[in-house]
Amino acid sequence: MTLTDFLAWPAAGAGTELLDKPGVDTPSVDEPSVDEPSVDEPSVDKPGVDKAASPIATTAHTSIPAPVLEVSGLSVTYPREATSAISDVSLSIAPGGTVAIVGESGSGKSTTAAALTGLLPTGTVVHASTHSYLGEDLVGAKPRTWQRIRGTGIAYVPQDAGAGLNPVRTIASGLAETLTVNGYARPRIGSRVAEVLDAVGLDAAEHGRRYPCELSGGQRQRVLIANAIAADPALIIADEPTSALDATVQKQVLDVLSELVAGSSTGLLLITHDLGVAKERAEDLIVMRNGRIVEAGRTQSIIASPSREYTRALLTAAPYLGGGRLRPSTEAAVDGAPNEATATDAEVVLRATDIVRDFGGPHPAVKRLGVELTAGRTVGIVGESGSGKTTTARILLGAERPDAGTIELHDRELSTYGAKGLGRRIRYVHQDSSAALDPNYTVEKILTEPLRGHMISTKKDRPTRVRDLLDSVALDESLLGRTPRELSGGQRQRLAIARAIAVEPEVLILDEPVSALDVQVQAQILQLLVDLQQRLGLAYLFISHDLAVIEQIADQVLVMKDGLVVESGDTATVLRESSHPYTRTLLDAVPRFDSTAVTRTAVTRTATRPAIRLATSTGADHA
Amino acid sequence: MSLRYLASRLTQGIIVLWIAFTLSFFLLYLLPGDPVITMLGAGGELQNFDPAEVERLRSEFNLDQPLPVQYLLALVAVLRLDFGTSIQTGTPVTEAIASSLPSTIGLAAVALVIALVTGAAIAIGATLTRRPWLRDALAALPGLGVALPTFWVGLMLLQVFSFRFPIFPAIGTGTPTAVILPAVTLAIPLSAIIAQILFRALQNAWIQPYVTTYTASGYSRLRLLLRQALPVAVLPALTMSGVLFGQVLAGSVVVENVFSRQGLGRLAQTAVTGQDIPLVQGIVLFAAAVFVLVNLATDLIYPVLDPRLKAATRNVPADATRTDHEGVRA
Repeated sequence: MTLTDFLAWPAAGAGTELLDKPGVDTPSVDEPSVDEPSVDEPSVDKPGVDKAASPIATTAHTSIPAPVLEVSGLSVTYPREATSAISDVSLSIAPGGTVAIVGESGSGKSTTAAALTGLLPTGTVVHASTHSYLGEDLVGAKPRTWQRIRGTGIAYVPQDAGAGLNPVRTIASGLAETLTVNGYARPRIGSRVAEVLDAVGLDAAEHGRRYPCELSGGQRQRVLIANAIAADPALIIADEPTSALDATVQKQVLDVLSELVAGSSTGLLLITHDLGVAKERAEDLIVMRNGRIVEAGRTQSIIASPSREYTRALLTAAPYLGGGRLRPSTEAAVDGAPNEATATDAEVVLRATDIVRDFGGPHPAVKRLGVELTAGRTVGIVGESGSGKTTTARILLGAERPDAGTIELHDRELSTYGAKGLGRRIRYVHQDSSAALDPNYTVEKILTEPLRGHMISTKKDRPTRVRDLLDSVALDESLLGRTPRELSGGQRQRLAIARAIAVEPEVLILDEPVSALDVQVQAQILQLLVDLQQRLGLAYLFISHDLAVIEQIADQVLVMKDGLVVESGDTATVLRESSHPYTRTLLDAVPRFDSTAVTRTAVTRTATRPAIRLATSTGADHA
Repeated sequence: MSLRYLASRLTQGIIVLWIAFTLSFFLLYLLPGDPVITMLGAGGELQNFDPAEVERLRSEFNLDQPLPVQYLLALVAVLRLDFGTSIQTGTPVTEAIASSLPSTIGLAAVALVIALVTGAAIAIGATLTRRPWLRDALAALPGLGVALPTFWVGLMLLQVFSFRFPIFPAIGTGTPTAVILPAVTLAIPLSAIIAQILFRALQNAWIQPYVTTYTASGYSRLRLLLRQALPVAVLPALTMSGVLFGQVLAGSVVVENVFSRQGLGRLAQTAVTGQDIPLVQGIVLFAAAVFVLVNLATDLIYPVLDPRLKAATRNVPADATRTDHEGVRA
């Protein structure tokens, strides 16, 4: 462990304001000795009682509370892998403090979380010079030790992909079981279940007897939090607790976590890919990349003045409100294609009027929706899940018949085109590119297929055409033989876009195309879309739950709620001057940087954009 | 569970019964031999019989009619719930089945208990152990259990536990201990099926995210398995109860013969060899009816036990977002 990499910043909670020097490594006053004898705690029936009695508290400064968790030099190597998943990770979490780990996928965030909860698969090699929980040495801890500490000591909130809770047990019985496991006496359990459900904003009587499948994603995530806090742990490790949720629900869930930690002695380690979330919720921030800590320190200082290039790039890429619409990269703009000047009199490609679609739910999936898509322009649809965004998309691409209303493509009813004619003119890009691309096809076959199907270019010319397509989405020719699985998430989404534009369509319907991507990749894909639109004059319908993304790409926006368009208009105007309460809720839920940070990132944003443009410009100079 | 669903399932069940009846009817006619001759004397000495007597019996059982007429007559009789009498013994078919049933039910019940206990133990042990060799060994057992021929297992057990070490009686239905060896014989393939299905279901449940959730909440492995994974894993195993029932019936034919026990399997075997058409038909219909009922009961119980299915039937357009545009074009 090198001293420079080691950052044991003191507690931020409990009113301590010590050593707040931005970007400077804090002295390791409370670094425990590696040879610290392990504390033999026979059982932890009453969590929190022994917390003050840890040996660190006696050796450290009395003004600084002993950290709940202290780790240094942690490295993890998975079985049958040559390189380590994480190496030399150090962190310290104080009672009542919140530390966030940020990084893109593959940065080692989740491996760190698993290592800290002892949840790594068997055969994994773990090294640490220090790994202590409340003074107890956990280096090489036995499964039995972990079992004792989990629940009452260290609790874990997983990201709910719909399967984080036992599907055949009711919420209350699951929580009761966790309490039983953690030594709660039977008479106490009923009231405690009600308490923890209440703490996460759920009602024991109403939600307790439901099954996980009868709850919404946000509610399930809250139950997972309730399950974690049930036995009053000293530390909560939350791994992307809100990544699958809409901004509004995300805010509620994070509020629950923040409230639980604030004013208590419970520490929180928040793992997220969203810098905005980290900025809003954590006092201390760790930026990870490729399994190593890139930068660590007080969140405020890092956001204000990142010392590492990578952190700056992350900040730049993070979508934020107020940045305005992305402009095409200059190379693409050289073509002088129609842009804002001509956009007003550009041709309307697709026009939908008074669309209604009712599945028989509590409200119609879509009601009285009207939208016009214009060549070279983007209409964004924003709303929470279940607001009717995807149904609208499916109706507009002809995959779903509306119950009422008309859709015209070039003043001709959509249904008169036939499946093939529509497929040539309107293309769809899915959020989940791995599901949308045939896993058995190579990249070449995926791109040749639509050309063959729509009889575009001769058989002889197709290889050239496929290479051109790859080029326009800035993918390298060397990927031609790969299957989708062998591509990264960003590469897959580029491939999906390449496939969509292969048949030279007029309309692209993009359904949350960047929601599953890391911020940096997300920024690149958005820029690619803007450039392609500029070059090919495509009309976009862009669906997203993320207002910051909508702002970057959409000229006009429809805000949907329960199937109804509650507000629409020019994107900048709607985002700036919206008076509709629902739009305001959506806007308020977006985690944002404070104004100083925004101006700072806005400056750096233009400074670092060339790096991203480089990736797409390779595709832009072919025509 | 709507009434319409129930009605459609019952209709399906009736169709299954009709097919079973028809197939067994024509298959029996394809068998060489003459039931009346078989009945009159266990041998081929046709010349000793009074032709008039043979004719009388033939017409009594409608055997003198053309095949389609015989079929229709038999079908009409069955529809009127008249299952006829055994050609061999003259006892009503329903009575013959009813009298042989208790012995087989007793055998099946004991076998099922043994099979459930050993099958579940193998599956749970294989899931729970941290030793790869033990897991592999336990996981290999079901394959072995299915592969062993029932009659061979029965004979081996007899050889060892009745002749070499006379612990259990070799044959008969009389004493309570007499059921042990046949039940074990019958239980081996059953437990193999149970172990295999349950092990696979447990393995599948074991990698689900909720197992991680509860591991992180301080659960022990045993508790995780019994309280979290098992309730999920038994559901797919439950759907196989129809298969298990089929296995019990098929097994009982062999086991009851090897151990010379009374029972439905033995009855079926003698009925087939004697070309006792009404009796065979009766047994086939009875077995098919039980099979249909077992499956219907499983289907009706499943949504009660699995809340996900209840929820799925409520949310109509749940999967609307998953279709790719590519599929629309086809």
